[in-house]
Amino acid sequence: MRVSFLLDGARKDVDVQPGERLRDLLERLGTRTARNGCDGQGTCGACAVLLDGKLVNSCLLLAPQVDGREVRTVASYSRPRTLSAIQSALVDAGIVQCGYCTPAMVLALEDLLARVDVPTREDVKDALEGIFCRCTGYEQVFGAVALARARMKDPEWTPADAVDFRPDLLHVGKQRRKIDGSTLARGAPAFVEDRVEPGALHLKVLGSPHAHARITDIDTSAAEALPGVVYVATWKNTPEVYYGTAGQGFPEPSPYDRRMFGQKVRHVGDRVAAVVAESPEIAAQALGLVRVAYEVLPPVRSIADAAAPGAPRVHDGVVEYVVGAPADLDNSGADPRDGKVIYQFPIHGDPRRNVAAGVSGGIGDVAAGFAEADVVIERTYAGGHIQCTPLEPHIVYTKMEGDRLVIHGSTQVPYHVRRIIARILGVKENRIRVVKERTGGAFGSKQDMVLEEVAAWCTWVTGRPVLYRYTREEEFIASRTRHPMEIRVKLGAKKDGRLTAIEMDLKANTGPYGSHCLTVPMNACSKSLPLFLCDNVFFQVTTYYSNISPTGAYQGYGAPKGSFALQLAAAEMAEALGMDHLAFLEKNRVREGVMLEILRCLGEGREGVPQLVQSCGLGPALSRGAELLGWGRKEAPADPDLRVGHGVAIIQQGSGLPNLDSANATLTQFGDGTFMLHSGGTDLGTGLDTVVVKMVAETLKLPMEQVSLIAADTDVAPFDTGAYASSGTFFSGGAALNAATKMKALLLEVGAELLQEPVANLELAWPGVVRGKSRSVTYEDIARHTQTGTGRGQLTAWGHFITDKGSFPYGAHFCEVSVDVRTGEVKVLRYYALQDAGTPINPELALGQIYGGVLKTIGHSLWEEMVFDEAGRCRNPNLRDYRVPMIRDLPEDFRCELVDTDDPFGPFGAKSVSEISCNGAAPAIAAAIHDAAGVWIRDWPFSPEKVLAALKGAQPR
Amino acid sequence: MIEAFHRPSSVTAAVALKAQLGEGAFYLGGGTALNALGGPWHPRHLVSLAGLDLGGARMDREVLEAGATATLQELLGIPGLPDAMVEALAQEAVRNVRNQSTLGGRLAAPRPGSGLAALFVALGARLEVADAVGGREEIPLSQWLASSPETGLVTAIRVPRSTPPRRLAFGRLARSSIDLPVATVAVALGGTPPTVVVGAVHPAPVRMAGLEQALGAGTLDPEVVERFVADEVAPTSDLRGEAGWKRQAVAALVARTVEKARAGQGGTW
Repeated sequence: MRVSFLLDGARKDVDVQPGERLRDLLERLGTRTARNGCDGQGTCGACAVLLDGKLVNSCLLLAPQVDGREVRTVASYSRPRTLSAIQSALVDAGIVQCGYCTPAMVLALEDLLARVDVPTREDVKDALEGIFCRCTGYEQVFGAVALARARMKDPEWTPADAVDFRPDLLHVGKQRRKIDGSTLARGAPAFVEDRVEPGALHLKVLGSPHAHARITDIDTSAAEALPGVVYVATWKNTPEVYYGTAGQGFPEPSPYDRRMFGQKVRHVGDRVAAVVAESPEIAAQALGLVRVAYEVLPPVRSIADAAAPGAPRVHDGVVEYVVGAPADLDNSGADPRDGKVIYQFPIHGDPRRNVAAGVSGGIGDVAAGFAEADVVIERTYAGGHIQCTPLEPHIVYTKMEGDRLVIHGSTQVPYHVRRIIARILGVKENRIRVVKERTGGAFGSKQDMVLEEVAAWCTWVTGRPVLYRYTREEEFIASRTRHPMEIRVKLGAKKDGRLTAIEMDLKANTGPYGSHCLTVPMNACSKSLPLFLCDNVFFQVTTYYSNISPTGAYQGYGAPKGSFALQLAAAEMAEALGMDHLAFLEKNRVREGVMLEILRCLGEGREGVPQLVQSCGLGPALSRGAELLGWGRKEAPADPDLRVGHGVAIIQQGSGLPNLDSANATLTQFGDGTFMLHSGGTDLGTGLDTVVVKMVAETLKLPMEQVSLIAADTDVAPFDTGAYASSGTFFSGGAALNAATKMKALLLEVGAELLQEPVANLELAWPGVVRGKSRSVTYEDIARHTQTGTGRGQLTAWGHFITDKGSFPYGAHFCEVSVDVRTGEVKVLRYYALQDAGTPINPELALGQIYGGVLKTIGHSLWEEMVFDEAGRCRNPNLRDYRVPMIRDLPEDFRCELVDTDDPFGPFGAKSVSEISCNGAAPAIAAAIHDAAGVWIRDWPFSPEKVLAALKGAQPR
Repeated sequence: MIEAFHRPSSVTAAVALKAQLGEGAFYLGGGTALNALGGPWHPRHLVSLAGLDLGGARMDREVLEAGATATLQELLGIPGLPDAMVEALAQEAVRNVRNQSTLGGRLAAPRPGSGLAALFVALGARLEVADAVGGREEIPLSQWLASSPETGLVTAIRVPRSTPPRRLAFGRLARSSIDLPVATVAVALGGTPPTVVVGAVHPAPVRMAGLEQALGAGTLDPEVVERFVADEVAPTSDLRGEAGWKRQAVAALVARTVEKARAGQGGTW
């Protein structure tokens, strides 16, 4: 049928299907900024448009409904290279991270500010209540609205009280516009889906309906015969190459325990077959024509299931080692249909017992430590199964350019993806290019190669471009989640509060494959134990295979769960000692100048390195947090059913992996003196691209606009291990700084030649000159000189960053909660996160990382949980039933602050900031629940059922 | 698979068309339920109400009256609504859905979680329903929700005001803001016997008859209210919570909402 409407001011007369969604129509018309985050359930708001001036979800509207009406997208407010007041305010307030929801936010605020002159906090919440943002934690949007209002009157308006962490520097430590902010706020093409060309094939995967089964027969003939189907992939026609999907440095401490398609499926949604076809509809139809016979096996659903004697084996195939095979390795009973598990080196796995990996270690003598203690407590803590929920699901677009494969990815690890796919395809890495596009949220789930290799293979075989995008349901059941864990903690302490022994026995559930199976659980120990000064420490980690949804990396890695267990145990110990919790933390906490010996045995599959704590902001963080909260001073609530309590937790993370991570950057001078930086660093929306540009502009004393960047394109930018382990600023930033420092030396050298003065007399000066005692030359002069026929050649500098040093960000999180003693409901009333990030390179973006990390973890603590039925099927694979946090879930008073420290190792004294933010909410909230209502809830999420059961004296689950 | 999108220009034509199209034909108001992925309806024919001039909303001393295609947000814009009604409307859906969702669709299509339906049942709302031959009848919302009739088009909603006004309160319990409610509660006290309606727990809003009777006889302590409710609701275990917990939580919510109404915190009607 014919529909006529105004789209961003232009008349559109189009033929539509009667059931065509407006969102799909807009995409068909080339408008892609109405993004898809929930597959048309109407829960994420990313597809919002203004219909006759009112904000609506375009996925809930049929095209015929807009006949005769006016539709506006972000394009209505976007001009080339300039930003509207609202767009610039969102960027400058730090509320644009990945940018996938930004067009919807822009429209919501256009709608708001057209209706309300001076919006209150409630007005802003009302305007944005239907838009899901996983990155930012929403809080900074209130400042953005105020900024937008000011800029509507004066477009150049800038707050006079902007925080400046480094008055001695030009850019570092100051608010500067995020370099990709303009692209994202205007809704310019930036994401993988924006790169898809007409004629691309569509890939869909048939997922297993069973949690654990063997494929006894598979017939694809009917699917292949369907017109429009180009190729069908199964285990029969895909490489028998075993690999791991974890994007970790080679050789990985994760087993190679899967092939692209196998004869065994190990979770609901596991790959059975893939179809590539001329349209998504044909691909979907063809999936229905694939005939599969299964031998259904009993599923292993939990750690207890996996560890039980005689448990079904998730991996019952051949076990191999590249190096270090144990002498007693026995494959005599292996079932070849189960494939292989190949360890690169021993990580104490034993697939015959469903053990994927294990490790133990310690310092001192814990038996003696417990014997010395006046009080010993032993508790077990557990955490459920949670999902990263990036707004943009996993997506990849692959195509051939000549005889080379090009992969447009939304990935944290483009260089690892190149390496792994080259191996699967049986080609050298120089045949593959991976281009990391803007990433619509990742949070760790895109540290795994979740779907890239299937599309790559299909393009390699067919020669055709292929788009493969997860549905929201696939994102839940077949992407990556945080490992469920059970952690037994035993603490011993003297009456004065001094810890004498700590023991952590951690069991983790890695699910069907061993991605990060050693390192995530181990990280739960390595990022929690060093917070306490204790001479006697022992830890043990065992990770089990099972048939739940796959696990992997998630912001914080294992630390949030380890932190929950150890920090809550500390709170319980303080109570057992009759001591103030804060005083207990203060007595035992790590401080500057301490050597962390425990790290020697926490080296991610190798021997670790003890580290000296060079900087530690815990002191100021604890005192500032206690002051903000009014520690110990609680006002009785008016409602007699409510109890109010205070909680605190101390937290830490690392800044990349010493002796494991590596980053590179190259810097090239253009003919007019400007620069192009090629960085391997992978910006996920965190602001890393802005960090690396700042490194160069700061060092060379230039406006940031004179430094352009191409990052994370494997053809152009040099190797970088990727965006994980909180390494971005430290490693990728460090490499950019090293490249800039080398360029500085080159500029001085050429400057000396031109000025006829010794280098010792010269300095770089704003805005891009080499200044001598008597006169100066500009960078442009230098470029012209070096690039002439008699010059030394274009100035190019390479920077490399590795380190054996660790820099640890620290923090203290405080909260006030209310507990409803009649319903068990817990509400976070106030939350204060005080964090030490060293020098924050981008202060507003650093704060955005903290707000986002905290709100995610408040969600994990109170609401979020994947729920499975007896057969291993996820019952809530959507945003609503999983309960992602929205703006109305914010604490009424929510403040994140950076405490000032200076670290000697990181670039300009920077440490990491993002992942640590996820470590505090669960233990702080649990401690506050106890303070309020006298019950310890040791299993998150802290659902009202658990709280009410505990209040009624029943044993909490 | 939607085969056709129909745009009738009169109410009688719309009703006749839907009857003629039979099973698989649905009236389309805003479409926030019908167009959402994963719904149970699977429409083949949509009969759009957009051209029927069923919009508009107004309130006077006697009644709140709204056309079936008035949006939730339009209703919220009426000045002077009691707080309980503002709360129920605002919590019914997020703004980007309220801008599109129609009152008729919210009330006429079965939606167990609707707090607005619970409140309007408590206030004795009536639906104007048109038949295929130009007839219109008014039936109580409660009756419509109980019987889920397949025929007839809801054209307007009328919520009569009481004299003297009754004290209202609205309550809603949800695990988080995006989640569907565990329960909604509407309470109206004074004038006539007390009315207490619980939504979201059963397939349709349910009056707490025993509690209403007891409240009519005199003021009850919250603990007593809770005991009445616990006897009168029959929640089931689902993703929002286990049945035993729900029973306690709903009882507490009702008791609290009764107290709120008694204190006059939800306005009057």
